[in-house]
Amino acid sequence: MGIEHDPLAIVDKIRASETSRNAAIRNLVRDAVIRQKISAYILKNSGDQTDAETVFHDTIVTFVKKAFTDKKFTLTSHLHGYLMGTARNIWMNALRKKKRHVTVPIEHASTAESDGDNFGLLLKGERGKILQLVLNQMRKNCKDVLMHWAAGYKMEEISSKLSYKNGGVVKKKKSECMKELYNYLSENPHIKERIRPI
Amino acid sequence: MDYYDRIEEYLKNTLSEAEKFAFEKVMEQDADLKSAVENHEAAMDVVGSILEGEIRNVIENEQLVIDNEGSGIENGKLKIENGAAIGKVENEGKEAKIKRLTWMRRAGVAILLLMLGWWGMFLFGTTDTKLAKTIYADNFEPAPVDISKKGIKMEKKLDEINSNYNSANYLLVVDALNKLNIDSIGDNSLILMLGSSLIINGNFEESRVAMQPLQFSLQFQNEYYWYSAMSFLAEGELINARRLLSKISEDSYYSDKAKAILNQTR
Repeated sequence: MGIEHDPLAIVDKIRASETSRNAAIRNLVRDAVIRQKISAYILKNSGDQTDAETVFHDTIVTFVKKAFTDKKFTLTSHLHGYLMGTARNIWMNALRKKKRHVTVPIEHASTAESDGDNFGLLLKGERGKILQLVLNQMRKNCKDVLMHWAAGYKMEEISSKLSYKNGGVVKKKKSECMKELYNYLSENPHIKERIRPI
Repeated sequence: MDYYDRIEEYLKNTLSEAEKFAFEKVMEQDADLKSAVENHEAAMDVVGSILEGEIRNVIENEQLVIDNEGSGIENGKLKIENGAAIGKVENEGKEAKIKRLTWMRRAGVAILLLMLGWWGMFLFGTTDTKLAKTIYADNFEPAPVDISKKGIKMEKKLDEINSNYNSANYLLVVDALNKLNIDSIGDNSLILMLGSSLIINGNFEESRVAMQPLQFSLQFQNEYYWYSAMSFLAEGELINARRLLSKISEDSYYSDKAKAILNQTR
């Protein structure tokens, strides 16, 4: 069954808190209409069911990352339209990488509002696995602070979102966590080498 | 200003042109600073991937819940439909007759229908299990491990284990490896050999527990997912096997096989 998404509300939910963001993500995963649409598109364009599921998940990741990190981002059209556009771009990009020769019908070209080629998906392939390994070593509170900081949130904003005393405490926490990570990478140069972008 | 802050500003491109130029000049002559910048750059890459990691965790967990519900719903539906279908056939032919039955006879018919329903449930409920076990039989091969290490203290013992492994004496391998206390040795090849042997001996859960340290090894992580998935398949647990196989369905030595199984079990 399809889930009604209020375009403004879903972006707000993604930005508001971890709880509301996770609820929004779960709703997206459970949206059978968009899942079905993406699946039909992939199957029609040289993909199989596993590809369809991968693209569906990558589409949600791309959308949620965009909504969380890009403060200027707003949805001006229906969410499903945006997600379909993103899914098409992700799949075309994947096909290009696989060097499969497929002709892309004009009506399947990306929509204006969807993401371009720069999906910024990091946790894919071998490099992604190594990044994931490093993430598994990090403490939850460090991840929370650094994630918001990397997304461009100000220290005061992070402090109110994550219930810290003030921005100064967050700043200290951020430096502490960065140093921990920095030291871990210094002590494990083989890991550092493997997470370098190719 | 903090050393780290300065590097961060450089990497975030928030220094003025003059400051950036000066920083790069120092970096050219200071190998330690250059190395520090590289470390910081790698740290920034990790930080940049935290959000994606968090999102993927939620998606993966929710997908697992859906898959579990899905198999329950599908099986449940099948079970009910079957029971109902069997009941319906029985009922249609005997409806008039049943009306005349005494309560004892009705109870007898109810038990019979229940048994038929149970048989239907059993038949359809085991389809996934059978498929999983067939896939295991088609795909499982002992891990190709060679632990003979020349010139080390345990050379003779390891050679003996190696020889037993290659001669398919897996009970002896497990026994010898357990005695060695491989956790304290921390050799991932030994752990993989133990996990693989335990699967062959039918100790599936024990094999997964033994192989857990491989999950955090760069070199053996894929083996962990593949052999743990194999152990789940051997137990007929399709959903857990699929969850692990999906982690190695791209860019790994096992990609093709994992993808084929995922497609086969959709």
